[in-house]
Amino acid sequence: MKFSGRVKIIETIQLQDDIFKITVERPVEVETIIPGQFFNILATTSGLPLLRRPISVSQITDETLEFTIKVLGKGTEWLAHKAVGSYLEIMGPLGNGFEIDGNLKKVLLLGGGIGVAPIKGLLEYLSQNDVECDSVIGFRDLPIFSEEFIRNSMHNEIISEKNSAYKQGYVTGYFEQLVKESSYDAIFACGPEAMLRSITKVADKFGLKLQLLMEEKMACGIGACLVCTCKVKDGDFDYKHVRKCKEGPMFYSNEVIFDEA
Amino acid sequence: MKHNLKVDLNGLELKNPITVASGTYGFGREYAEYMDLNILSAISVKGLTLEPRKGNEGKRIAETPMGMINSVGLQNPGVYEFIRQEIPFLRQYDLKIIANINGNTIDEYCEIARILDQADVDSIELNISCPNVKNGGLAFGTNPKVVKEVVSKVRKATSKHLIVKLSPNVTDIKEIARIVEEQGANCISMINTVTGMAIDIHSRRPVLKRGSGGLSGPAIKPIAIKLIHDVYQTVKIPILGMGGIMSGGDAVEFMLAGASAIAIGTGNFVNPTLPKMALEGVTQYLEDYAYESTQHLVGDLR
Repeated sequence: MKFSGRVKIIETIQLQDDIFKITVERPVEVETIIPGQFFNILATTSGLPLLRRPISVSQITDETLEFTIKVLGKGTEWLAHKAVGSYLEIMGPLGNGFEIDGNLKKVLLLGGGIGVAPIKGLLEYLSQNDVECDSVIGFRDLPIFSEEFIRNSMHNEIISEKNSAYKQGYVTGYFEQLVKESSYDAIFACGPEAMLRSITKVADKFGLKLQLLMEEKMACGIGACLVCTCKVKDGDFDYKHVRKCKEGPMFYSNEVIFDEA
Repeated sequence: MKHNLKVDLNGLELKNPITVASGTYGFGREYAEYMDLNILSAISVKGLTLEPRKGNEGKRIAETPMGMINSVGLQNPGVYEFIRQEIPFLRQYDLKIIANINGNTIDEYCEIARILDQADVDSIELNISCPNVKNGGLAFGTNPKVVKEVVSKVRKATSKHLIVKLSPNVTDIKEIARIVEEQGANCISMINTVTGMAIDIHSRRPVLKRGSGGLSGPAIKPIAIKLIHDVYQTVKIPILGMGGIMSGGDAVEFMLAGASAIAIGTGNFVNPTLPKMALEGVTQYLEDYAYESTQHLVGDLR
């Protein structure tokens, strides 16, 4: 049986007004977790909101799991303010995370907004395994995890749309610049769909295949309900719907068919 | 006291009153990793069509207070693939297989029924109430004349146990239930989702790409209870009740309203072992209130 049960909250740190980092005890039953995988977490004791919240891991250690959440509604607000020492009901790890080849030497990581959370988990994992990482992370205003990214990256860019203390612009522009200058064994990305769509356009232009971690509203989180879908290519002429929670949330950029904005 | 949990849905024998609802449990594979499926007395599988279906594009879910609206659009591998791949998997478990079927035309319903008549399924659930497909579904389930025709023709196409799943989106559900009974269905399952819509006030667009969908979860439970109560007074065939069941207590409430057995749907998403908990809850209730069997509980309102 896969893990579904209670875990104790060890620590909650507020990173920004609406962003919280929650560390929980890692259940002993969970043997392997791959960066990019997620847990489906109950965000209520009253029954409202009804559905669990799918949250990716932002750090994996032998003893702990870390979830970084942005408060967007009642569920995430409940999670953010759940007392240290109390318990969360979690299911997982779920889905297919990033594919991490043992021969990686040099990689590029791209993150946008709260999407930097799983990318941080991946970065820490890769740098522990002596993979050389470049990274570009972008935010609307202030960054999160800037220290972690600077510490673990060979080359790092922090970009902000409206905070002049940081470089201005979007992840896509810096991404294009970097792939012109360097070659990478793998490129990983997570962020808003608009960002994933525009970096995929750049990747297509350069014939690159990105590993995209895609976000979605989910219900069951395990592949039964079919409400979270990713439209992917099926041969040269057709498409099919696959489950973001089960076949994903990692998809290769050359498979995904994005919705026109 | 040893309670008799068995249920007879007019020709479909269930070992207990707990089943899972179509569209919420796939073909059982995913939940088998979280719960022993032998706990279930039956599974109603993901809605089947003659040909495989890709389902609806774009956003398929909107969460609403105590519920969710879905617009999946019957994404499924088709009836033949179900027979080849999914029946053998489910036969590893001690549960009854209910094949939920959907058609674009009455002929298509009949053809699927004929195909399944020769397959190893225990029951066919005629879904005439799916709100998420063009042409079919809801249109069939809301027009009494069409209900009469589709049920009578499917009845002739198969000798299997036949369940007809009713839509709550009708003016008089009792009239529909009466027709379903007259046309030879063995059992009624109810309720399907309630049509619903949610709007994103920032984009000023519906949340769901298709505009509207089917509302499920605890939000619809009082609607289900009322309609089951009404139909229980109207027909003699048994009712498989569903609509927002989240606990053993909810299951008991459905049975008191008139359901002989119940299905858990959206609740599975919240708690993957809810069927087990619900069965324990019902058993405890029988103990606490000195009922010998579940069948004595059905419709036992004071």
